[in-house]
Amino acid sequence: MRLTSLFVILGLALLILGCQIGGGGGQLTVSNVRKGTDGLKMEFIDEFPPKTVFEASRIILGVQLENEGATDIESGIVTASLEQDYMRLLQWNRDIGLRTSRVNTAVFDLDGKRIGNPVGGKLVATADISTLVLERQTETHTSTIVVTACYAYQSIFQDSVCIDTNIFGTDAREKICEVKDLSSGGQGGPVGIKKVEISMLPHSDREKVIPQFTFHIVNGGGGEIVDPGQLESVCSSAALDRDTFNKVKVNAVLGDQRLTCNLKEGEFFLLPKRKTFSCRLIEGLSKRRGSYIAPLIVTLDYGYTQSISKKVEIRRIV
Amino acid sequence: MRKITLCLFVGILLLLLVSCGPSRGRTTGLINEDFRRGSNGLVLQMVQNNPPARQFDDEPLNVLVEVHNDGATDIVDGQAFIFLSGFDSSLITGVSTFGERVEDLEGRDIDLPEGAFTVVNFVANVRDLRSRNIEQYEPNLLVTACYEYETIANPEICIDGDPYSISQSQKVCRGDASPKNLKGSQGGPVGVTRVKVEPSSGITRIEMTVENIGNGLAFKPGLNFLDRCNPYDIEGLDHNDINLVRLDELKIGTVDIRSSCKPLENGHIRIKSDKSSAVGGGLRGSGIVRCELRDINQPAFTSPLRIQLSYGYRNSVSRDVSIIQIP
Repeated sequence: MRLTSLFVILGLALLILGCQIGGGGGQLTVSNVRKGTDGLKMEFIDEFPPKTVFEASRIILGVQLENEGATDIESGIVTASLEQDYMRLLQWNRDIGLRTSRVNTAVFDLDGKRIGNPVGGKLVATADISTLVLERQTETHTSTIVVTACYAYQSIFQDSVCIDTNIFGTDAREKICEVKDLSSGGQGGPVGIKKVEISMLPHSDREKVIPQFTFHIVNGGGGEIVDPGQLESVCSSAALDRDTFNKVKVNAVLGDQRLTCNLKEGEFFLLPKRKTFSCRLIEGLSKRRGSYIAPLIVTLDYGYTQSISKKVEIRRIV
Repeated sequence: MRKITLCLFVGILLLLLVSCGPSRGRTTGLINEDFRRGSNGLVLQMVQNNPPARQFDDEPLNVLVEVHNDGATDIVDGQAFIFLSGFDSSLITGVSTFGERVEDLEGRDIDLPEGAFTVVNFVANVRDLRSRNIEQYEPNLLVTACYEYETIANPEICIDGDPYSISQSQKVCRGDASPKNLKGSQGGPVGVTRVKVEPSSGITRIEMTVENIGNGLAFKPGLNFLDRCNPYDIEGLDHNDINLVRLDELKIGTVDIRSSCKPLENGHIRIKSDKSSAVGGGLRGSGIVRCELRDINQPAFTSPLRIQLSYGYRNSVSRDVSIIQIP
């Protein structure tokens, strides 16, 4: 009888404890991956290449590529520039995630961060390099290895904006929000929107207003903006024209409505003296919609190129 | 054995005494005569988790609003509407811009001291966010009630047509005495908060303070203005429509003195708004009206002052909601 009571008490205690421990619950973590100004991060693997090498030898070049932004890189190009009198690139190795195209270039794909996977893709690209025989008078020579990546990228600015269709009105309509400018520290890509100025303009139809947005663009990465259609040329020694650089394709949407921007064919050139452009909803919004919060989505498509370099000392074999 | 019996007896006696004593919080009877109190009209409350603070874009958005008539006016079908706004209608669809009509909803009265409740349900569809490159959409959902309401106050005042009399005859009341039976609120968001009486020879002057004591906006009564209270209405309430309360009745006993009242704007008392901000309409504020009763030939007497005000009223509640794209 006593034993039965003991079992009952033990069972109850287990149930209570079980309920307390097992009650974890909570919501899924949904981190905002579209932040910061990082895109592709490149760095040399330690000792690949080593700081000192000998003439007429083989070395391995190792570069770690990590996509720290929020866009998948498809068919990105990585290339190595060497002093041809001292070093020659033999081949890029077919490592995981790497395809070779021409002798001194390789093509890679790298997933970006996304909701549910806040860690971007990573790969190590290796290439075989041979050093050449130094001239007779030369004991050592310091050469620079430059690795360049060229890839197409996208930055998506998305924020909630207050739309007040009755900003000029004298009526006592209840307002849910106040129209104010937005600022951002980046959208998960090297090129991004830093600030958005929002204003409501009068429409010729008095029952409507035109929302206008002025975007301030910055290149927050350490590289250059290039035309995504000319990545191969950029990552080679081909001649390039002026329009290849600083070109960003813009698409701005308010809720479900596409905005019209003061750009030719939707292309913005980010220049030292021109860092802003404006977009409007030309057809306007009816005052009937009152004040509300709407998502503003601006997609910036561009190509990007960036380089890293390392000095290598080539020594004569005595 | 005796001791145990005595203890039991004392215990039972104590229990009886405790159970039969007056209980706190209970009304003295079924009838609640004091139902005209409080500064609420329709009270809105979003039901917990409807909508939830966060949801995915593949689920419908349910906004469940509990509507409580916490004032002393019955809402008759068509006198109250509830609206849902504050979101982008291109992403959240299926919400009527005409609002939801509140059916008959009894206010507090002698038989129903708590007022009646009802629930209004808005069911909206959320459009796919992924295809629009939207990771998260965070609207501030605003539920607005627009309704017609009235306030009735019955303070008892002293009418003395001969306040400076030197005769020694005893008076039943003093003409400058404070009115009796006037509380700060009368079961509506607009209340009569002060009545001052100043007697003089043959005339008694009355000064009333009417105040917006709720947390919303008062506007002119009438279906036209009720329509314009709709947040989707193209015209909306104008500044000439708001902070105005109609004085329907002002009687001392059976004598109507409404026509003597000043200042009135087409029969309406203007409430001067104390506070207004860019977000939200005018809030709080008070208005004063002065009226008089002339040709008083009777000795001092007490009389109920019947004040009836009618108005439209708008109040709202809001909740931030985060809608995220399904991973």
